[in-house]
Amino acid sequence: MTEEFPTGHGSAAERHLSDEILADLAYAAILGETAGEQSVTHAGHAEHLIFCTACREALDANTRVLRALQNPVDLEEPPPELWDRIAAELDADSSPDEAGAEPGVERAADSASTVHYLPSRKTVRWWVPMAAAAAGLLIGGAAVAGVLLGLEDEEEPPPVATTTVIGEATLEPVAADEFSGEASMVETEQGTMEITVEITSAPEATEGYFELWLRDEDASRLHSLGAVSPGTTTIEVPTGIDLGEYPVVDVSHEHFDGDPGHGGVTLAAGAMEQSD
Amino acid sequence: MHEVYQRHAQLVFSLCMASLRHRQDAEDATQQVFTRAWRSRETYDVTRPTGAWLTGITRRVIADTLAARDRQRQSAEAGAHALDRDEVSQPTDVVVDRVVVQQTLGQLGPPQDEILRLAYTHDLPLKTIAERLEMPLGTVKSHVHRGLARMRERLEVHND
Repeated sequence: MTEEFPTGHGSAAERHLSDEILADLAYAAILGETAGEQSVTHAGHAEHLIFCTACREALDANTRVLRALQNPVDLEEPPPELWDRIAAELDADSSPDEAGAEPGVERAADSASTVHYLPSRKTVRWWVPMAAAAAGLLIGGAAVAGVLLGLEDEEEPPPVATTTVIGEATLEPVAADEFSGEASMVETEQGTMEITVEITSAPEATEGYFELWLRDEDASRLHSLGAVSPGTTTIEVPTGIDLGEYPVVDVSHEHFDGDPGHGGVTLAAGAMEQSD
Repeated sequence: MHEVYQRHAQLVFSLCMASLRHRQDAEDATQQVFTRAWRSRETYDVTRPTGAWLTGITRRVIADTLAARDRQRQSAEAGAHALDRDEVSQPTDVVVDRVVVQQTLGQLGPPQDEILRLAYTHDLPLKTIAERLEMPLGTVKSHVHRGLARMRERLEVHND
């Protein structure tokens, strides 16, 4: 009686002992161990197990699972402050030259979120190698100045006398092969906010135009600021928008299709980084 | 990073608690895992599961922490660092298995989690379980085997 024994190179689905048998064998082995038995007999399947690597591996896997089930552990949640400590450490990591600027605990929690680009054909990277991950900016002159200068809540921020740059983003290509540009968010003397976009190189906006957006990391929330063109464009940003919720600047290629939504093609994007 | 933390902090912290058996050490170790992860993110292969990557980092942090403890204990005076060790510590592989299996039970939910616990933590015969839960024996068996299969998959993911 000849039987063909697999060499063990087959897929994990090729098994000759059923799940039930494997589980029973594993369980018996564990109980045997606990009872102090010296050897495991594998109830008549010993020969198959000698020759069949796949089944042996499956038996081992089952044995591990059952052993683990025999000795349950408590699952523990870390305390909520732990995240804040991590965020603070990472924040300090990424901006070592902001001497003495200790990010507040809530700021740190916001600023350590990841930035995702809209998927392009290349592998999507989880992390963006930017100096500081997206900064949380609040609108309103006093609040902005207060956060940026790292002031405590009780201190009065100085009045904003001139145009202040509050954030900058470098636009890096996403779907476009080549795109370079910078965006900077400023607060004017009058207390309004403007974003100035300078596009130094870009493909042609074939059958359409470029549109500027502020969005969150995974593009679930977007706010359009309007059309931009190569060169410099300045657009007023409505007060009342929480820049912390829209930390990414996005330039898309839109068509004249009557659809006001983001067409899905991000030419370039960049995370807005808090300015000193 | 915050998302990654929220999704995996329980796993990492539970691993640290089960291995180090000391809350403050576990918190510090967890912090180290996530900061190391962030700092080495360029080397992370996006196509592989994040949980497995973090588990790998956690093993190393735990090993480092235990080694540091050993050195401290050797040079410190007796009693300087009282640690809570009420049972013999297990090798990290065993700890990882136990935590991952426990998490998987949570993911499986009823009735599988209860069935598996009754069968393999409380050692009840499947027939008894079927009677207690008022289910056909065949159904109970099917739940057991699907649950075990899921656990094998997850263990494989978390082991280098």
